[in-house]
Amino acid sequence: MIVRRLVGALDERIGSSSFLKKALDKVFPDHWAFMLGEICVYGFVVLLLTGTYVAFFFNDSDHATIYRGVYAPLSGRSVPASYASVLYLSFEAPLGLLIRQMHHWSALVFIGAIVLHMSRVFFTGAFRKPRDLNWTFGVLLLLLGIGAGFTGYSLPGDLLSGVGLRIAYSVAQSIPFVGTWLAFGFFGGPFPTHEMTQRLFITHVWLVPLLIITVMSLHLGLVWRQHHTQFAGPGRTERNVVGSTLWPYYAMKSIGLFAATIGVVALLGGFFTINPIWMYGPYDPWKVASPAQPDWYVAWLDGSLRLGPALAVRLFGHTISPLFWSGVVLPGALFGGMLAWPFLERKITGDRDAHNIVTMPYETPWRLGLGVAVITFATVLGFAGSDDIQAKLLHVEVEKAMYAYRIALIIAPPVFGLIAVAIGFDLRARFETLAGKRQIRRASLTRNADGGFDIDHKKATPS
Amino acid sequence: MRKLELLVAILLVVAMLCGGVFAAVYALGAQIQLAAAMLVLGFGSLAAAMVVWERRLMPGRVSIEDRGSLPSGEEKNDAAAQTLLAGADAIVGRRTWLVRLFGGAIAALGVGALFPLRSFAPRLTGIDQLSHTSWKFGIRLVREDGTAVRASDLENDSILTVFPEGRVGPQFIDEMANDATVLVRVPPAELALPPARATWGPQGLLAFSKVCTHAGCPVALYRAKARQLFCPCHQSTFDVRTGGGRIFGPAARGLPQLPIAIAPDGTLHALGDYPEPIGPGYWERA
Repeated sequence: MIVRRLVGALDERIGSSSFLKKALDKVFPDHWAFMLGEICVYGFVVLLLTGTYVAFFFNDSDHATIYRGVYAPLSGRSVPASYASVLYLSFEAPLGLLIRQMHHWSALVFIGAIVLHMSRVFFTGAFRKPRDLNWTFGVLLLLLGIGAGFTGYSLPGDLLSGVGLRIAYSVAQSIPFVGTWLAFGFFGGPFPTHEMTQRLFITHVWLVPLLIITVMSLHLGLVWRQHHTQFAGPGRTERNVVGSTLWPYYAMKSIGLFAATIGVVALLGGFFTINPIWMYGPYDPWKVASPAQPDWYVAWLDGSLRLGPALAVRLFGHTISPLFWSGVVLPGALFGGMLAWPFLERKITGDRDAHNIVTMPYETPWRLGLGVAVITFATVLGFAGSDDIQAKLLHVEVEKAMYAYRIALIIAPPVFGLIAVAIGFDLRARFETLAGKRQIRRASLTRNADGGFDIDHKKATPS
Repeated sequence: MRKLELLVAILLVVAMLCGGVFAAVYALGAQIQLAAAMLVLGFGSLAAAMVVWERRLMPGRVSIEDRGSLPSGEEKNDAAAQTLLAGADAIVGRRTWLVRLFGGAIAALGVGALFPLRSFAPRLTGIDQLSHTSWKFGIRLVREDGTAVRASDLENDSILTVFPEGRVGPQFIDEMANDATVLVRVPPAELALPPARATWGPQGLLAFSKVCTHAGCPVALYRAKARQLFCPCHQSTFDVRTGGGRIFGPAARGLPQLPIAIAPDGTLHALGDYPEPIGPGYWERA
């Protein structure tokens, strides 16, 4: 009995067995929506593995070098050393391109899963006390994920990333009082500098991942400590968790999900080109590609810069550029609102109780409406981030497209939000009627001492 | 049950084979789509095997666990708070002045430790460097490859990116990023320059900073019909005829115009630097 001996040996040294027993017996609710967060974790694991691989090939130098690799169109051209190293990885290292594309795609999967997971948590009210603290960590993880993505795709020294970096530099510079110092501090001086890729690199491969690992550990630690929430159902109460145990059921399922995540990322990375930097060319600061679009999780910021008011404030010999409103204030307000929401909702509803049973989105129509409005707002901004392409496709003037988006940004969120509220109220009414009928059906009868029957509407058995 | 076990077995064998074929694909030229297909099929089969195995071959799934209660109760809270306070009392007592000194020590060490951050901006000699470019009186306008530009090189509605002579090439990339100037030619009769800049468009040639005043992108597109310069990043639009005035988009300022003149030999030169800082606004900009 090698297992018994191992468990015993470990227990004698660190007293692990009672924890191990509890951990193996830990119950996880069975619901597909509860697996979204797990996809984030596995997406991040794929990011770490592929990222470590590609990092060994990357040269973080901005210095110009003559490209002498196999990609003929750029042969003999002066390019940044970083750019040349990514071309080598893509064209000459066997399967380098596959792993590089899997790295980029897994970033999209990671952030996409965060957004979906967060929506699930929001619409079901899982962020309420006692998990309000963990919602905060989740919002920070989204922020860090976007930071990881931006610092990553800005690395290869191509035209698109260079232009994006200059925009980021300009946004940093727009901040009152400290902006210029922040921008100079990160980039080393006025844009462009020969330190920027080196600084982005260490930020991307150490600083941001370290923060993600830290916050993710706290996030998962709290999930472990507080247990998962669960939907209402027979036998489910505020005090228990109904589902399957970690060992063997949940472990099997989770390993399967990990394998599926790797499979999906391999599918995307192997068959769908992403960030073909040889098509964009190396970064020459006086050139730009048109159209120029960032990854989708940054597109909403780009859309904000496009739609933002052309409003510069000039006061007492100082300037606040329009970028401050669209690139700092708006995203700041959005993320600030997300961080504050659990505490705001508690103020509004006066509900100070702890909740372990989560609700279906339609059960709280106003929250549903708010969520839909915010998602609509971000989506309009995201689509506005490629308004020039759409204008071209639709043969309309880009000015008209921009005005249309400005109007949509104001109109669409409340309209979609209110539609969602109405749908929510309607569904709630329907399900309440249904639930009432089901309740009667599920009532249990008990023979009493007098020979009659007692009807118990509340008694229910686990399904 | 038997059939499902067979299915799981097949899926696992497929996954196993995929691992082997992946290695073979790598060794035989590393064709990307083939390799990726092996990963997709291999990990896909593994995932399917795990799910079928767990869902269908392992009975007795539902368990109920008591959550326990997170709050420890008032008594324990009080005890914890009491211990904190008692400890603090043991540290401080009547020695509040020592606590203040402690705070001072931490603050001084913390502030001191911030100073090395200054090294992150080694070439920060003053923010005024943002308000200058390499353009000076008499410097000729040259192309990216260093060749001089003549007035006759540009027809109406053509544009060209130019730099100060002697400041082009790989060693001047940083300067070129901010010196980049777009030279446009329009029919002189259409010009409506501000009175102070009446002579800045000789023979209809006008030079503007290529760095967008919105977010710093290169203003690289020209709309010939409307005589507008257009930024492809965020669609800020500038009127060439009025000397770079802003007409649309999120930019709040027009494009700075470079004063230029035509020499007797037909080459172009600058009459000075840009009259205002180029590029996006920043706090210290007046």
